[in-house]
Amino acid sequence: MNIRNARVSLLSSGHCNLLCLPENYQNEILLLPWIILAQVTPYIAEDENGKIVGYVLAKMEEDPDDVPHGHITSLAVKRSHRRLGLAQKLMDQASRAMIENFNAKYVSLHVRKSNRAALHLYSNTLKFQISEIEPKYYADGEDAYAMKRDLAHMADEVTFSDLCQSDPPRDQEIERDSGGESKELSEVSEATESTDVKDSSSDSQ
Amino acid sequence: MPTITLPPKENALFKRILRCYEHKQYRNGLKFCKQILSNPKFAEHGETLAMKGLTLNCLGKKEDAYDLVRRGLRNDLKSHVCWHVYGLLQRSDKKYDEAIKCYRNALKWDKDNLQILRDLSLLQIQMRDLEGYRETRYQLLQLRPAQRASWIGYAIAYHLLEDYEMAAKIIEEFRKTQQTSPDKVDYEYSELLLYQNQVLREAGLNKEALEHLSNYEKQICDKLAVEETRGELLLRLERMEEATKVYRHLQERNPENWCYYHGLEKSLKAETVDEKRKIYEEAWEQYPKGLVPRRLPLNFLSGVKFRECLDRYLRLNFSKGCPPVFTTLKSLYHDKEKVAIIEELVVGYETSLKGCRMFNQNDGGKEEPPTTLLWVQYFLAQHYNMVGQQTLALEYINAAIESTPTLIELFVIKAKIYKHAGNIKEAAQWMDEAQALDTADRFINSKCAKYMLKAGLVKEAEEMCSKFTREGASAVENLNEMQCMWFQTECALAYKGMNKYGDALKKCHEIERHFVEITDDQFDFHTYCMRKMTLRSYVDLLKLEDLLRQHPFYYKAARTAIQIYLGLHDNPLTDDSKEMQADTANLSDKELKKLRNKQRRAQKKAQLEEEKKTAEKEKQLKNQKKKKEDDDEEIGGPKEELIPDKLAKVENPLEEAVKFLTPLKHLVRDKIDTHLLAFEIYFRKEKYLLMLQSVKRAVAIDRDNPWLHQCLVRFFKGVSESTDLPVAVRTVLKQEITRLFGDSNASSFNQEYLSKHSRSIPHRVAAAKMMVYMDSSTETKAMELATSIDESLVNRTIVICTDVLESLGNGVLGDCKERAEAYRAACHKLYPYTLAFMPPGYEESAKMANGDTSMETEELTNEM
Repeated sequence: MNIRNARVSLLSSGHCNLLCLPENYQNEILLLPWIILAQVTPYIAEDENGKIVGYVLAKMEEDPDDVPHGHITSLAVKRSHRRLGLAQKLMDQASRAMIENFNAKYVSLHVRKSNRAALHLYSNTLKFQISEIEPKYYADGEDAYAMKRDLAHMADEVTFSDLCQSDPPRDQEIERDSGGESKELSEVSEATESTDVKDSSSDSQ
Repeated sequence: MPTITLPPKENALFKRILRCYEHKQYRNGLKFCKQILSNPKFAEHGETLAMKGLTLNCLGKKEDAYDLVRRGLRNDLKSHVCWHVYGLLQRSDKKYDEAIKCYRNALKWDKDNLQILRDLSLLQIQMRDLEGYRETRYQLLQLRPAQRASWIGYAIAYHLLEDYEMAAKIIEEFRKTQQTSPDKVDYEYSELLLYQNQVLREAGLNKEALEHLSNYEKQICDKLAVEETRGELLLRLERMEEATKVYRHLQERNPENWCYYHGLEKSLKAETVDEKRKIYEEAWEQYPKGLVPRRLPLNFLSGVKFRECLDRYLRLNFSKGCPPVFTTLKSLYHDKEKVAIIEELVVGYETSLKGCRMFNQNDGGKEEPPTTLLWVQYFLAQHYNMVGQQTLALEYINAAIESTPTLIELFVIKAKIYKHAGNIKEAAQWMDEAQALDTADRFINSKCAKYMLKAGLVKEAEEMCSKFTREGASAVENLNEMQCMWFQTECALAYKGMNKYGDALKKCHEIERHFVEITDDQFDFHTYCMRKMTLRSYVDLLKLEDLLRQHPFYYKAARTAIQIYLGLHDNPLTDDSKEMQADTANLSDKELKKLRNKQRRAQKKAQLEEEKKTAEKEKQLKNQKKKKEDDDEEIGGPKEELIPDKLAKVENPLEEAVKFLTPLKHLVRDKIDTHLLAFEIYFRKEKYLLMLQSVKRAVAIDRDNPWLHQCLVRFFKGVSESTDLPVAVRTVLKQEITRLFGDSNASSFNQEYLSKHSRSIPHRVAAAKMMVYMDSSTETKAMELATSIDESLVNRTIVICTDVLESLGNGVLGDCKERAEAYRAACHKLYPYTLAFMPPGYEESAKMANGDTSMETEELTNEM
């Protein structure tokens, strides 16, 4: 099985989702926004034919009161490909990306209280710890365990391996042009390019 | 400019209408419209009428909307508002071409209107009018040079037009205006840099791209993307030493990525098998947990080395108890030598484990736990299933089940073996057994439903699925909503198998609609992505959307639909009774009675189902009404309901078939079936030039394909017998036919084909069918040709034998009961599990022995 970072892989991954999870989403409502929104790109495990057999979807939580941290939205491995260690490998890759790219300190997730297989995976293999119980978290009224995994240890390893990297240091000639209006620019564009249909006459009347 | 200017009071009201529309306060909007329109002086005010229409459209009153908007426009043809509104209305109806025309008219009266220009650009990109898009984006850039989106949109236009250098230049101009600190990482800027780098690479500017990457890497968030890109660029620039370092680093980061090994192979210039093997052996030592370094070498090794490597790989996985180990080796099975080595090794393990609990008594290994033998047997069952020895496969799986009767995986494989052996009913039962062992597992649940559908048990499959679909809605509705296409595809095939063509077509059309929806859903991303700067993803998305219908789901649905439409063209349904009669014509009395009973039961069930459905529908309708009253949601036009009966009695089935075919012809050109399906359609339409096009494309893919051969013969014969072709067409056909067939005629062409492939069953069958097609007096000879199945012939499969058996009954190979029965008996000896070859009355006696199996499943599903 090949494990890689995948920016666009909507339909087959959606297929995988429907086969694995009780919570299923419509193809595009799950995956199209995902590739666009996700700052943490999904990792997938695929077979020789490029068929997706597992994936992890993660995102960075935007909580100004907390340290930067990630959240696992969905993790799945097809039953036919379990016990290859794919879940752990996918999770490790996603966690590493969140540390490197966004300085994530920990990663959180939710799991159904009744999902014993997943619970076992998260607590025993992946070293997540239950942080609290969220009552009636799921649509059908089931409670969820909120779980967390501290990434400090992994972060140390990541930095360590970067130090070990035998690449010669590169010259840092960063080209910069100080266009004074740039900050303003992006603000303006945020405000005016909107997805809503605006009336056409406001400009002309 | 509008022709009538409203006085200040009314003008203020009009502005409020616009605001209400923006904020989706439609009822208030209508109130203000009324205030203006109730003044007799402005009762026919064009822009107000148009806005009233647009507002009503949002409330679901489409007809009124069109009336009002058109009336408004007629009253004020020079108003950009009226034209824009008309465009928006068309757009909401997905008539994008019409909408573009309206926007263009609007711009005639107000050429610098930003909103209209933006709306126009969205439609242009959606419709992939790239030239138009570039023009519009240029205007927007000139009007608003200070906006980020103006620059990005303009650059994307060039990128999509494949003018990479221009695109890169535009991005660079824009990038220069961005003020960033070299040490602080800004996500959006980082995405911009990565996008710029992608454009540089696509432009083939590898050196520049590498420099760019080195200059800005500190400001790029996505560290992995930086490293992967660097590796790729160094390889392209043949800076192998540096590339090696990068790939080693990447490999350390993720030892499970194939590309990194392939990168290393290239950078280390490993060409011989030994040089390659070294890379993987090193990796194996360095990353003892890695799967890839152990698995990948099996692809290129052979002989003794292969055996050695495989031996280690298998022992490790069997000891560990890794169920998917067979799955990971499946792709090696095209290589006969490897298959033999696998078999010899694993059979050896089994014997030895049984005797002394070791993989091999003589190599000083340690004693294995009992589960190792279980996994070895599980592997062998899959192995023998794969190589077509189902009896042996069943022996191994039964032995495994006997030792561990609670392991789901074992039952899954048992089901799979029966499926491959041609007994889908038995297979579905074993899958149900597997499913019953863990009803909370959706994967098994879905597998079970899939097998049930393959066995034609549609109702049972629906019930199976309903355990995981939303409560309160019907499973089928819910699965459609969720775009659960595997279910719909299997349903279509199941209905087709039962000759319920309307129902099958409904499923195919539902799948087609999913693809339309997915295409439409792009719309939101055109603005969103530019705002969020996720430009790499956006451009990938656009490219992917263009190829969407390459997806196997679409292919399967399209193929099924086309086959059904072809059948409906050949045998149109006139009324239901006829369909029934055709079905029952060749059944014995006893079978008939049974069938009737079954039908009665089915009818009763259907009736109940119907009642349930209407009740549900009413509920849904109520809900919908409620929703409509809440009305703050935009409502798209309702789609035409898909009614099975109507679909099956379609006026012109071939036209419908062409609709499904067209995307395949563009997107799936490399599959021979695409062109053969095309031929079948054009053959029936008597379009000779299109037939020619289809067979030529197919010949280029695989000249010897048996289905293609039949197309060629029919084409050949058709052309030589047609009399009313225009001279020009005839000349072209004549030329091309000489090129395709040489100087032969259809019959000698067929004979040549036969002698070329005289040892292959599918080819013999194709030639035999064509003999009968050209001259029915050759029936006896043709039958002899098609029905021989002795060991000296190759390519013998259940599929081809089933096809022959069918052809013996339906006239394609003549109609001879005794011969069919003799052939069935011969096949039964070869394939003892296959339902199609069971002796007459088999199902009856099976039921006597086991109790009525269909009843059993029914009860079972009721319990759950």
